[in-house]
Amino acid sequence: MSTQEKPEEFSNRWGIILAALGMAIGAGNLWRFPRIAGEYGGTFIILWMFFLVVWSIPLLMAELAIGKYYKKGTIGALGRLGGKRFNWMGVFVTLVTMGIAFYYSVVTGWSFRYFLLNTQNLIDYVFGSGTMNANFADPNVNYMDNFWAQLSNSSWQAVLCYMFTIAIAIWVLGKGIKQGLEKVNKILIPTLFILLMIVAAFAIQLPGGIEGLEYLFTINVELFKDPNVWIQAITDSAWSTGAGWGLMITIGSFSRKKEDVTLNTFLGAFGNNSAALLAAMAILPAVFAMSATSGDAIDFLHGGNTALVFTVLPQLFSQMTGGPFLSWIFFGAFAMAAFSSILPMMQLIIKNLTDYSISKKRAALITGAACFVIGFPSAWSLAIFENQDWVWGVGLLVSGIFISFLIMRYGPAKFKRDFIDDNSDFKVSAKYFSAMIYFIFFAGLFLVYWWMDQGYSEYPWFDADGNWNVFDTFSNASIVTQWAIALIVAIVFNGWFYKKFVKK
Amino acid sequence: MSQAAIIGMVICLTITFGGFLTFLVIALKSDKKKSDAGLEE
Repeated sequence: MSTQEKPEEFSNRWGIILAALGMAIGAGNLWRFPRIAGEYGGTFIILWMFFLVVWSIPLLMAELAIGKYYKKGTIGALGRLGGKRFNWMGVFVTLVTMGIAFYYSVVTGWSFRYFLLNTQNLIDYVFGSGTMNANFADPNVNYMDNFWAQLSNSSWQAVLCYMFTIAIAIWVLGKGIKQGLEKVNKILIPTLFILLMIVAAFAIQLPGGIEGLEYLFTINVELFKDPNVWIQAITDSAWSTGAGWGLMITIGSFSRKKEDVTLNTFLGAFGNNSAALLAAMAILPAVFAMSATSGDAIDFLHGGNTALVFTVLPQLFSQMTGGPFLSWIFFGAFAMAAFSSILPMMQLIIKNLTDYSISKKRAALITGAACFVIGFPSAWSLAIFENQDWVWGVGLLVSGIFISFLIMRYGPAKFKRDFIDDNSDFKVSAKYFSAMIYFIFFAGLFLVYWWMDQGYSEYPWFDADGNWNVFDTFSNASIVTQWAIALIVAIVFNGWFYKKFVKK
Repeated sequence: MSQAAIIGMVICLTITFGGFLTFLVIALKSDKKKSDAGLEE
């Protein structure tokens, strides 16, 4: 512990916007959104845009403003807002996002491995015999299924890949905000948009590609009556934009005092949704064009996130002329999206550690070591990875509830005036902001109940023998137990966290 | 492509990309205004 370092700031608004885009555009934009959008079509997209304005933007705006105002990480900033009595809420928000960072480094590691695999395939396709691509395409060889099964379970390759991810992330973040995060995002985000546009342009002009657009954009008015579509839309907006994760607080803490919170938030949020829609316009036409029938395409989309990206898409790409090139571009975009998202997650941990007066470089190393140790089980076992994704994914909704509660306690209209409006080129109305904060609080409570009530586990609370079903991947018992541990840590050490991170 | 899908595409793209481009233009204009006024570093 030591060294009082000069506070770091982004160079300008574009540094913040690119960081916000990098944070929000992640694996979910490429493997979750296209699947859900393909299932419910234009109806879902309209509702998803509606909830961008109703759920995500008010929360993101509040987070960016809190970070900018207090210039502290999530524990310090939310602790200042809530006071000692509610400081534990900020600690919980931090622990939830840390839980995500630990397993997300594994996703990023997988994305790098697939990019490498597709690079090998492209080289073999262009300069070699093309055997590798033939194996990808041959359903009898089952190459992609086997590759994924090996990588996702007890694989040292997966461990090496996520170690590589952590090492690169530490190297970038150790350089600081301007020289590290800002510089990398200047390359990653525009390149990511360009790569997605290339894949979309190729996929749409393929025979059958238009059918994918048909599924994506057709508005079925009847679906507006289906509550499931509304819930999928609000949840995807919450998960995709990163609202309630505390990541915007971290980004805001590096924001200059004169930055415009409102405009930067709107631009970042709409940019995230544009990237997601672009990804859907690339993936759905590609899946429809390359599948034998529409029924096959729909089955592929129902196969789940990892199955779609890691087994279906590479196999489909390999069956078309020039497919290895398109696949290489797609996995390049996927790796960039995942990497641009792990950076702010790790930065959130680093910022909290530097608030505790640990030097930037040391904080980066500690963060990397924590990600390596705690992320290891997720890299080793797909079941543990899925459990962590589920537990902390739903936990994010609780984080959103906590942040909206702290703003409700402060007074939403007063909060907007004191925290958001300063230096804003355009302002949202106080009535809109206040109403949305109350909505987020109550809708959040309902969403947590709804997701836990979905029955993804056969025994949500107790197993067949009547034991607490904590080791089941998708059980409510597992969720509640892990949240309880986080809450106990936050509440028992509330005074210590307040003294070390807030008052300091 | 069916007429319903075309209408849906126009609506969805207008809201999403249209929104993004609108805010992008506002931000660029704001930066230019500040730059002209000598406020930007």
